[in-house]
Amino acid sequence: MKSLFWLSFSFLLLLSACKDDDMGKVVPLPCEESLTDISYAPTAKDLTTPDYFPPLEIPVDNPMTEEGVDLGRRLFYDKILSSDSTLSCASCHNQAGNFTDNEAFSLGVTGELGGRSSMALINVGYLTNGLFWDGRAATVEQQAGMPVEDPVEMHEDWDNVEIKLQSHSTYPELFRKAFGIETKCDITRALAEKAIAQFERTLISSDAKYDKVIRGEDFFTDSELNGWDMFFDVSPDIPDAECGHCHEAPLFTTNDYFNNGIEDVDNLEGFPDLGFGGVTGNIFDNGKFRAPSLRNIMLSAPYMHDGRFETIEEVIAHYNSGGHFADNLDPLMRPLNLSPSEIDDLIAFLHTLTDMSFIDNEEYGDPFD
Amino acid sequence: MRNLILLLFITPIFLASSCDDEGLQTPSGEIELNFKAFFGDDPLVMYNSTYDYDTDVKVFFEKFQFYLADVVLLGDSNTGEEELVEIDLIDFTGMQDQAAAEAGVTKNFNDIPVGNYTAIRLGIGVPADQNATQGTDYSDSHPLGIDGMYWSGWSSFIFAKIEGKTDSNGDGVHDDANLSYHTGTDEVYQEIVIPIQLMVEENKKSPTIGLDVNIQTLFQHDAGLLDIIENPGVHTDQHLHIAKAIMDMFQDAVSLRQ
Repeated sequence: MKSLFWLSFSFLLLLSACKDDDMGKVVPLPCEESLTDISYAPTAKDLTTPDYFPPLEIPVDNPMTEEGVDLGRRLFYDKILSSDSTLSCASCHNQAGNFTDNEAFSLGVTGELGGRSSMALINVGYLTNGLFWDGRAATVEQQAGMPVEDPVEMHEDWDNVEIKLQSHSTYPELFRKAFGIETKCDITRALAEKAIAQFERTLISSDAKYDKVIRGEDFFTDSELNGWDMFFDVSPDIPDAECGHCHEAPLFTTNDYFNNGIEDVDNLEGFPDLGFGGVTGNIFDNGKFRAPSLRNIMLSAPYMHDGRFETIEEVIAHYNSGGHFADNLDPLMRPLNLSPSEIDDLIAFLHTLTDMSFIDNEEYGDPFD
Repeated sequence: MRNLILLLFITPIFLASSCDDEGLQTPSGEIELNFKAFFGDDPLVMYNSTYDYDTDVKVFFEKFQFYLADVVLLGDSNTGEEELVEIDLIDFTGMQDQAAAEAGVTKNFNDIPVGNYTAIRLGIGVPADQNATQGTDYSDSHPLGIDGMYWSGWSSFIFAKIEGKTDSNGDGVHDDANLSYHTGTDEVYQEIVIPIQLMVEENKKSPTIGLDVNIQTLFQHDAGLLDIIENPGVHTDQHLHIAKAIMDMFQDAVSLRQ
C-alpha cells in the first residue's frame, strides 16, 4: 500500500515537473517562483593587492561582492556543472597544484583526454589579451563558461546547467543574494560565469619569497640573486637567460603569445597544435602559446601547453638549447650556454616564486569540505 | 507681476552669459598624423618581405614599434604651441602585407586651434619623468601599461623594439641570427623637430602630416652599417652603445613625406 502511494506520488511529481508540448519536448519545472522575499544587500568585496602589482581591472558590469565570490566559489567546486556530475572546475584546477591538475592532459567526463594541459589559475584577474593557452576567451567571464560545453571536459549543455541550478535547493537563494534576481528563471549562464569569474579574481598570489624581498622583508641567497640577475639580465657580467622578456615581474607573464621553439616543424603550417594561430587565423601566430605566469611554477608541473616537460630542469635544458627554428620562432630564442651551476642558480630563483600561503589559503578551498 | 519682472531681469543676463561662452570658444580644426615605415624605398612589410641588408645578408622583420612622446605643433608668432600626444606607442607589427604597410599608422586630432604651424616636435622614447615610473603603475589600456614594454633590469621602459631574422649564408632560410634590438634608458631619448607648413582652418580637416620612418637608416652608424650578424641584439648595459646609436639615428630616419 505504501509502495503504491509512493508510486502514485512519483507519477504526479513527474507530471508536475514536466509537460509534453506540441513538439514532444520535455520542458523544465516552472521557475517563475519569486525570490524577492530573500534580502538582496550585497557587500562589496575588499580585495587587497600589492602596490607593486598593476591595477586590477574589474569589469563595470561585474563588480566584486562577498556574495558573488561565495557563489562563484561554490560553482567552481560543484560537479553540477558537468554532464554526469563527476567533474567540477576544481577537478582540473586543484588548489594544491597551483590550480592545475599536474597532468599533461586532463580527463574529461567521457573518459577522453583534453588537448592541452590545464593552466594554473593564479592572479587570473590580471590576465589581459586573451585567456587559455591560445587566447580564445576574451575575458575571465568567458573563460569560466567554456569548459562546461567542451566535449573533452565537462561535456554539458549550459541550458541544462541553468535548469539544474534553477531547480537546486540552495542556488536560487545564492544567486538572489549575489545578483538580485527576482525569480529562479533569472539564473543564467551569464550570471554563473560572472560569479565564477569573481571567485577567480580573488586568486591572488603575492606572498612568495620574491615578494618578501621586493617588500624589503627578506633577502635572496647568493644563488637566488645570481638567478635573478640572469632571469632579468640585470648585470652585463652575468649571462642573460632571456626569461624576463616573456615572464616580466611582478606577474611573471607578459600576457602575450610566443613560439618558444618546442616544435620541430618544416613550415608554419606544420604545427600539430596551431595554438594562437588557430584563434587569430594568422599563419605567423601558428605554434604560439600564451606565456604563463611563473608564480608557483615549481608546483605546476608538467610544463608547456602539452605537458611535455615533466621537470623544470627539462624546461631550462630546452631554453638553453635555443629551440627549433621556424620563421616565427621568438627572436629571443637562442642557445644560452648556461653552465650547470648557472642553471642551478636560475632554479633557485624560480623557487623564490613559490607562495605556499596561496596553496593553503582556506578562502580558495572547497566550500563543500 | 513679481515673477514677470524677475524673468525680464534674468533673461538678458542669461543670454549675455551664453553669448560670452560662444565668443570665448577657440576656433579649431582637425589634423591627421600618418606614420609609415620603410626599408630604404620599400614599405616595411613584416614577415612577408625580405630586404637586402647588405650584399651578404638578407633580413625580414617581425616587429617594429617605438614610443612617441610630447608631440607638439609649433606655431608662428601669432599661433603658439599645441600638444598633440603626451605618450603613445607607434606599432608597425601588424603590417604584414603591402596594403597595410602602405596605409601606415594614422592618428587623428580634433580641436586644434586655427593658425599657421611651422614645425612639429616629437620625442622618440619615454621622457625622463615618465620613465621614472613603471609599467605596473598604469592600466593595460594606457600606452605605458602595455605588457612587455617595461624592462625592470634597466628600470626603464623599452623605447623601441626591432625584431627580425637574417639569412647570411644564402640558403634562403633566415636562421642565421635572430635580431632583437630593445632600446631604453633616459640617455637614449630623442627629440626631433621637423619643419612643416600647416594651416589649420576652422572646422576643416587639414592635409595629412605624413612622417616616414626608414628602419634601414637606424642601422647606419658612424662606424658604418651595423654588423647585425655579430651584434644581433641589445639587452644589457654592455650593448648600450648600440642602443644609443640606433636611437640617435631616429634623427635622420624620420622625415616629412613630400
